[in-house]
Amino acid sequence: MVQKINYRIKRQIGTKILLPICVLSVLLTSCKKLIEVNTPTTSISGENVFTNDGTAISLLTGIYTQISSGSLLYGDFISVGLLTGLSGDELTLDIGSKGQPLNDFYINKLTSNTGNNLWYNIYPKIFVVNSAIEKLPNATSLTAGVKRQLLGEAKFMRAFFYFYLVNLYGDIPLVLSTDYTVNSVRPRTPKAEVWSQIIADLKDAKELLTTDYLDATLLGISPERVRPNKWAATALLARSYLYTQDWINAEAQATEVINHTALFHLDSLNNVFQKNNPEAIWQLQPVNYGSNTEDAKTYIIHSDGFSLSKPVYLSENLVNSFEINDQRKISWTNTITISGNSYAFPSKYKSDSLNAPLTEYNTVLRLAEQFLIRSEAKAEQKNIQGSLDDLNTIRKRAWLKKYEIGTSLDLSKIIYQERRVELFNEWGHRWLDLKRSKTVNSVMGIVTPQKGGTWSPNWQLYPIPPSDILANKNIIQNPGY
Amino acid sequence: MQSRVSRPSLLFTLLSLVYSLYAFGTPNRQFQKITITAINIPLGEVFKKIHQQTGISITNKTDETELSNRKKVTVNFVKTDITEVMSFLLIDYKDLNFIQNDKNIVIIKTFPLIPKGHFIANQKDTATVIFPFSGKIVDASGNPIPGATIKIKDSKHGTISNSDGSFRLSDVNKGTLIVISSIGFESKEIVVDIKNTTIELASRTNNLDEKVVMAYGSTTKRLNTGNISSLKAIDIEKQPPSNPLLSLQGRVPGVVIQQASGLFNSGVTIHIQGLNSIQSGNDPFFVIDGVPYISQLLPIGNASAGASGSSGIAGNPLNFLNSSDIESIEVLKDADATAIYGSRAANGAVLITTKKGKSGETKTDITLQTGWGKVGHMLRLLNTKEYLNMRHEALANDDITTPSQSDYDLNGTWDTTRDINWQKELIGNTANYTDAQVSLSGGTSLTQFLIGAGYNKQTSVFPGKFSDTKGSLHISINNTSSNQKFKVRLSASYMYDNNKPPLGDITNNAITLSPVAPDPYNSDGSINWAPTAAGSTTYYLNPLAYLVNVNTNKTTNLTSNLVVGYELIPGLEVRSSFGYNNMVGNEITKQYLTSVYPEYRMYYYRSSIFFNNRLNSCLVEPQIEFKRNLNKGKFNVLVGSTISQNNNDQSVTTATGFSNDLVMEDLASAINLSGSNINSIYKYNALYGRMTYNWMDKYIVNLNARRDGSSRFGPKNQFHNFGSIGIAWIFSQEVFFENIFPTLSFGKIRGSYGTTGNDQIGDYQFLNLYQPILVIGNLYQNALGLAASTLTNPYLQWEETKKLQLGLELGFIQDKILFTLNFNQNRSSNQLLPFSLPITTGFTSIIKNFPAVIQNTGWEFTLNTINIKTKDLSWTTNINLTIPKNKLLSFSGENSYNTISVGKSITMQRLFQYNGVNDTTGIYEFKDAKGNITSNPSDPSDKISIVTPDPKFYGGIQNSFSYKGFSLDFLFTFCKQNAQDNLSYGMLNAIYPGTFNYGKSNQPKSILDRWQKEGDNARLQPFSTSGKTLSLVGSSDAIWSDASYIKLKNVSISWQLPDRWKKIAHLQNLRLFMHAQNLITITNYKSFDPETPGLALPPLRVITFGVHITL
Repeated sequence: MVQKINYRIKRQIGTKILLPICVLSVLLTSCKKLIEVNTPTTSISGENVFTNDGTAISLLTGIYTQISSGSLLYGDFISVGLLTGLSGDELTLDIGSKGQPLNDFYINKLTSNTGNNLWYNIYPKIFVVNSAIEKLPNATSLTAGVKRQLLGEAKFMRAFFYFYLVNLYGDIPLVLSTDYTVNSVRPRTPKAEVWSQIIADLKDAKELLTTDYLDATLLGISPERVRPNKWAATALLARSYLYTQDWINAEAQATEVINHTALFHLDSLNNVFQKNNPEAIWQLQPVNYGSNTEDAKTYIIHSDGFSLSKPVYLSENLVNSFEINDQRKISWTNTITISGNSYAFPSKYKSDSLNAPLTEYNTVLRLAEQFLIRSEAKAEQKNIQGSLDDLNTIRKRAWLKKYEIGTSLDLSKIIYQERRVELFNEWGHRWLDLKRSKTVNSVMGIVTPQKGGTWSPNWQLYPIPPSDILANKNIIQNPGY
Repeated sequence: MQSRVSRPSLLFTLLSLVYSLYAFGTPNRQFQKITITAINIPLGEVFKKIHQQTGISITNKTDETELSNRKKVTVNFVKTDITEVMSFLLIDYKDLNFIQNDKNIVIIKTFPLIPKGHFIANQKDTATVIFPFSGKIVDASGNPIPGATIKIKDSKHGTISNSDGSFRLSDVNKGTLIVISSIGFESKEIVVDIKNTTIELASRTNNLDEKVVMAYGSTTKRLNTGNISSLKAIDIEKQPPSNPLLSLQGRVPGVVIQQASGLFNSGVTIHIQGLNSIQSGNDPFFVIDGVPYISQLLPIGNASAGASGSSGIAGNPLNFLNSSDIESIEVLKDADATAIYGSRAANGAVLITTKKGKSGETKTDITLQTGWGKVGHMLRLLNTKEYLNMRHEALANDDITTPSQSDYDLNGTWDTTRDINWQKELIGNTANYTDAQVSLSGGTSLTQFLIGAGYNKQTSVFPGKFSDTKGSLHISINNTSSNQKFKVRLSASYMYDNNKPPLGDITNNAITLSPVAPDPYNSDGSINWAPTAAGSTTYYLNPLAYLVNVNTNKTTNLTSNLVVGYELIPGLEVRSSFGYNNMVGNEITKQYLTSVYPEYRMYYYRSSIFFNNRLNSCLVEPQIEFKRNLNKGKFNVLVGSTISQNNNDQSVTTATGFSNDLVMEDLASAINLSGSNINSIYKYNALYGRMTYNWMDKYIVNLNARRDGSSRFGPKNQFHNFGSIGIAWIFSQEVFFENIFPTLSFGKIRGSYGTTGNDQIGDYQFLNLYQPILVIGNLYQNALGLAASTLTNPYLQWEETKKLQLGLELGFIQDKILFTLNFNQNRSSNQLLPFSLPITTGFTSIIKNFPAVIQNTGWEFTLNTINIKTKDLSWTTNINLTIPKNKLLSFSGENSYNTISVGKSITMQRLFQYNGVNDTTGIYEFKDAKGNITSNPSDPSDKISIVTPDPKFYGGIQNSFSYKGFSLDFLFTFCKQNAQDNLSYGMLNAIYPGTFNYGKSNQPKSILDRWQKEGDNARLQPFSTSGKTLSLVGSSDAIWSDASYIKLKNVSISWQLPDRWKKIAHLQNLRLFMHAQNLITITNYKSFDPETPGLALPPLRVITFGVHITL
């Protein structure tokens, strides 16, 4: 009896439950609903980024974060100063690090597989700024001010990236959209065209960006000078005109910045790299755990000597180029004696201990450079007195004596010399100046053999990654690689 | 005379054939008259003539009857009745008899029940008793055998046993010969005598009729239309406890298995019939008891175990399955076997079936084993004298007179009187193995159960307490209602794994560390940084410093499956399978301050990284199966649907800034916390069907179809159809064949063609995604940043593999020799590839479907022989050989994709063509693209040499002997291949002979063959402290060498207690055994192990001893 009931129940399970399940599921099959998934909760789809202020701002904040979180030793963008310092005559590589890839930069023997970090590091960021420049104008749900500021930041950053690419690699593919089908076959664009784009972007950025420094909502004013504003765009525009020998405009732009004394004036040497100091035009806030700047972390040498993470010191060439009494040598360099040998190292950034409060920011653009730009622009326009005035402004701060008009001066040479000792170890100025002044072959012809390498004019340009040449047959390698 | 007969007889045969096709099985007495006249004609010839004239085939199993077909006879029959002819031919053999129906005559040894010449079947003119015949079919232990075929021999009259094994045949003559057959059992012929009987079938020892698990069902090797290789528990158990996939090594053709490392829980890569995909996963589809199982784990922080395949994710998910719980592993290769799995089985499928209970007395099985593992082969490295000479020579070559401040090995900082064999110190320990398995099983004919529990612990060969401990539980319950209509089957396995691996594989340190490097520990047991007098560290690369850090990984894994089925009407069953998998892994890595050199500690912080991984998948798979006998054939239709969802959740938390080592698992004690997580969902939905028609076990057609939808693909391309056709012709069942080749006991030709897909590309690949940037320090302006992670492609679609397979299976001498030949040609197209992009696009690649076609062809041979089989002694041999070939047939975007080339294997690598050391300059030279010799070839245009690690052929030879209670089994595996040899030109991972590199500077002895002076014919460039152009030789074909090997892979010896001792001890069984793995390798390969090329810890040589007791 019991068993019989069991049968009935089981039969019911069979016919009343299983069969409908089967039939139902067969009917449901191939129903799109069953395989539809929402976008993952842990990332944001490209469609949604520009639908609200927060995520749109995050995109540009992401770029600053990425640059700032880079390491000097792994060839991230922030290491432009270190890598070009090794390529040029500013830094010496400690012998213990000879086996490291840095050595290729040091002895000017880059292969197509080394020395392309910067290229690799910059272009993905250009994709992001391009996507912002493409999508922002049509983003209807953003606050108008935010939209305008972001577009300005994106154009500024694009110009900033191309400035370094064109200087380090020569002709480069000028990528202005996010369409990979177009970008993947783009050949190298002549330098002149890249320069016009840089200048055009900076002019736009200057129009779009606010005159104040903004906070991360882009709605409030901030004392932090870590987001580019109109003055950053103007300062970079001045530099770009200088590099393209448009002396009139270079002077005009630099003057605009210098005259904006409400925000900018020269500070004492010890304050120049402090966060938000009055000389800073654009700084990067450190984001890495426990450290102030990566520069301090890498360059400051202690009595325990060099190591894998502290492999460089200042070259004798640079140390000897300071005039006697130059306070910059005292404030911005330091020496340490290890095993009886004395080594000089850069100490522009001083705070290198773990978990110290954030006091120093990586300074990308600062006022002193604007004086030097204007000095050079004026000199080229034969405004000798004006040129010397600007130069002397900088020299005065370093306790150096003024240059007087009338003495036989090679004005161009002393301006470059001043740039050398003022801007050493900052964002590649020296290496770019060597090339810009066309003295690179004569200087490196002497320096490279001292470093254990052989100089060829080809080494002025870094090699393009072979993977890009493979993936885009329209790209031709720089000569010599 | 003969010729006169032969012509009509040909016509006769044709007629009879035609006739028999139309009226198969009806008695045709008129054809049973024989006319033969001949002198001294072989008996076989007479049989042939009888067949020609009557269509009746005569079976004379000569080894049973001891009557040779070659025996000469003289005959003179004219229209003689066949019964008389047969009686005449056998008149001299008192112990021989024959049984006959209208199609067959079988000569047999004495059949006492029936007088000679008795007509047995369907012979209406003989006085016989007709009655309904019923009975029950059972196995040796009395369990019913459902689905057995009960048939009157050579007629279509027959039935199939019910689920309780019972059957009933109406209208059977007494004395009729009945054939009972069932999958997995020996067929049996009985003569009907009484009305009701119980018939016991012996389980098959012949592997043709062993059960073979296939997708959604089972078959036998005999009737299978596809290419399925099967491995049973008996072979899996010969392996010391490890990943169950490793037991397939060398035992299954067409399958390449590679163990990533000799560390426990290591990665295991399995490739079935070659690589079908250039970049997407080449993992097969894993199914455990019908439920799909993951092929890749979620990423963890510690990669020391090595990855499974190209994904780079350490470990293998099957490490979390107890190999002792496995009953069989089936490898499904061709389209016929895999098309029903649609888009997931292009790379083949591996079906794992766990152990089930058997009815009978409850019994307990206990297996205990313990063993040891060691690195089988160490490398020959420089000793201190040679090492120091090398360093001094390097300095001299570079014109350096005094060693620099950081040349600690030469400037007096390190003690150069030391001569340490770091291989012995760092990887020279013995790993211990402990394994215990207990299972309880039993049941009635309606309910069977099995409960098993296991414990396993392994340690490592590294210094330090590293271990992996596993505890597992396995449950299986089967129930059938007493009316046999309702069935429930539940199986579940649970494992808890507590893994404490080293945080890195220090094998590389063991072979590169300078022999003069200081002792890793100070006398007080702390890490020795060998500071200078000034306090600066010199021993940065102290190999044990990093091992101070602790890594633990606790994993729980539940796999379960419930099948509920109901037979609506006889032959129509509705069932549904419900599967659930849940794997949870918690990994913690604690990095202590003591693991970094003292000067760096001011920039370093204690950190703990927590990986919390959760994978779970649900599956509902309703099915309807319909079985019916249709016109002499069996017809089987299966229709089903799959609805499944997989959730992958991972959260990674990095906590830093702890004030001391003790609180590092307490998040509240961390100064800084950061995290990231992945939550991905994979949904999958399908409708599938299979139709099989088996006509008289002679012609078999199998059709599969599937429509699949998957969330992994772009909205524009989410659905696709797959299908296959498989046919088999068992030609040995043909009457004429039995006569032509009497020694051929089995012959089958099969072929299949169909399509399968590959969707192993990860989730959300079609979306353009932005992800937050992980910052461990301060957020930029206290705001989160976003970064772009992928480019979008809404057209993403599956890769498709079209598989063509042809097989020939032969059995000789009553299947004592079984030979299989399989040919496959698999063509995979629609390749999902990261289309290489210049970084100027922002990304290095975009995933696209390429019209590339990859072809994998392969020949697989297996030969199974029973060489000796007597009561006490047996010897069997299994040989398999695979000759694979991988080739890229076409590829449209070759220029953008440098790593492959049309006409070559997809694993190929382009390298510089090495041309030796210039004997004048001592510099490495290469041939460039124009054929000129250069020491400065340009990359990539001069990379003209192409090499591939693909095996040319591989296989295994297994021999099993048993004598009384002893058994011995050994397996040799072999492979012909090339591999990168990282030693011939020095350790080339940026450690060039002569450089110091903070003590990572030792070299193999082979580098002593270097150029020193003009005229030297040397293999290596001069030593140097800076490396210079040495890296080029590492990108050349010079470092590729032959890595072929023959390996004594496995030896298993066991001894079973004699029966009378067992009785005394009150044991059902007691067996002592020894298992050994990787015992001997014969090879020219210079590095550790040609089976796992490279410089990771090689698979260990393991020996275990144990006992198996059945209570």
